[in-house]
Amino acid sequence: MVGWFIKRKHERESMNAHDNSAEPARSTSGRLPTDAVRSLARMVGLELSEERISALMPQLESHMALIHAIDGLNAGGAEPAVELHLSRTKEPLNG
Amino acid sequence: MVSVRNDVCDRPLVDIASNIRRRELSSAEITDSVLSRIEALESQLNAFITVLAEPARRQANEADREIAAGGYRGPLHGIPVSVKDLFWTAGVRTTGGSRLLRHWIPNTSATVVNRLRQAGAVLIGKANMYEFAYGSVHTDVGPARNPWDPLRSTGGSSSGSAAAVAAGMGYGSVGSDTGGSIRIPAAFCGIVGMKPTYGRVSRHGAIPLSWSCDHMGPMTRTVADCAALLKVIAGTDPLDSTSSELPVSDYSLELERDVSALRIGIAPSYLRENIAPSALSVIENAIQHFQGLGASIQAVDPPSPSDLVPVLLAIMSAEAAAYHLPALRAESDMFSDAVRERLELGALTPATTYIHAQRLRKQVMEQMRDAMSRVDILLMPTSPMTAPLIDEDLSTSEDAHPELLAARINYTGPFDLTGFPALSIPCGFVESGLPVGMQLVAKPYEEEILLSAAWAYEQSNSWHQRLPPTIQSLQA
Repeated sequence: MVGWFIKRKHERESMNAHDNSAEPARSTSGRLPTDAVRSLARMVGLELSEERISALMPQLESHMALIHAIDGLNAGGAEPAVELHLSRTKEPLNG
Repeated sequence: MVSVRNDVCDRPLVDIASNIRRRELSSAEITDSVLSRIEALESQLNAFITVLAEPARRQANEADREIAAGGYRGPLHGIPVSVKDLFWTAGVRTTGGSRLLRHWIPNTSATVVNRLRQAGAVLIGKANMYEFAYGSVHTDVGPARNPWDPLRSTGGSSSGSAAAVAAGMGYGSVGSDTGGSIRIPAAFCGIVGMKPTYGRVSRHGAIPLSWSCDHMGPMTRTVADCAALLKVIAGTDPLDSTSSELPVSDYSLELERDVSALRIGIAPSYLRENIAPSALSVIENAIQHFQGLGASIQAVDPPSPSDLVPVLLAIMSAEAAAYHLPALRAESDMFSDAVRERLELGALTPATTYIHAQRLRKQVMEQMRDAMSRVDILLMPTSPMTAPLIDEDLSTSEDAHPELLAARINYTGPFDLTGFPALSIPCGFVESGLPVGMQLVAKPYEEEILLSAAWAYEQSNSWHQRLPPTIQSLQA
């Protein structure tokens, strides 16, 4: 029943192992330099040790691949789905 | 032989409410029974972070006095329920399933908790949950275990709520759902779980995961119980700026709507992608069952989960990181490795990606509405799988595994993104004896249609009456 899930997990681990053996000193695919990631993290106030960076890199590349899949989707003329209803503040102010 | 629910702890909430209203049973008796059930099973199931035995007994006695004096408040009066441990409870610790908040005691309660208490419900405990509702269990708390097989995961993040309800440790629970956290554990544990429309239930006083994707909702053993619990917790709240001002129906009175002309939409991208064959077979039987009730089936083409789940993850990861960033900077070692990683990933999500995702969200909400214009509900699996073994589950991994998280919420996440109401209901079992959940989705603020369709289905089969083996062992 859970075979497909486990298979994907194993595929993922196998993929990481392959990438690590190819480029052990760099990020798993070589696309994201670790120094750049450390600098980006510092810009939001996070200090990441070497150990943290090593643990994070495979996950970061997977995360970025996922969320950048939306880059090709066309949002048309839509504005962000966040709305300010200032009319709600009018009544109490006028008392 | 299949055992059915007949112990007082396993009977439906609405039946017990009827007994309490007629004073055939007291809240004190019921509460004691539920506390005994918790005492018998908690060491196996780990469903609670905090059990509130003495406060619950006091609340039950108070309910009995009020009812005896003619002050019956409604179907929740005197009924033992739990809430996920992310709802603030005044004077009672609220941990969010974390080490970070393990000693935190709020001064005020969440709106959901206040509404339960105003309805006279007895708060029996704070249910176990994934750490900050974000995909993984903190080792301090440990995983809740599935009453159908304690070696298996409950799913999450409302893990303890699902285990407790399925095992008769309370008549309902209120959970939260940002990617599927009510519906997935409901499916894995064989109970009903509803994520109402965004804005239908107040988020005030619930520790957020993602402000714009978090939904609060009921988890119960039957659809009628779900309707009764939703009625109590739904409604406008000035303390939640996104709370809807639309009136709340009496959902219990709407259950018996005629569903013989129900139009059900089936989308291939929500039915057959990545699903285990045995679960698909159960879902296909449920579709035929609905046709037998008179429903018509139509093909629809809503936006695909493969497009929508990444949009949800872009929003959820960035909002979660924004909320937790101060703690991540100052006390990062207080988080589990996996949750810390997810938060770090969110902190590195580009702002432009977040904004693009919010723009796409607005567009896909319209597309989803268009896709549902000729049907009343959508039908699909809740999860592509049944409950996995705990040791092989995403929730106990030390890594964030974004791809596995995305796969897990494939069918549920799109409706956290769009805010449409969705419900998971048991629809059968696979050969190994594990339950399968069917998800029904309605248009915004059409919870009545969702509940009446689910009720009609439930009334015409007996899946909800099966008793998990953990409880059968108590009766042996």
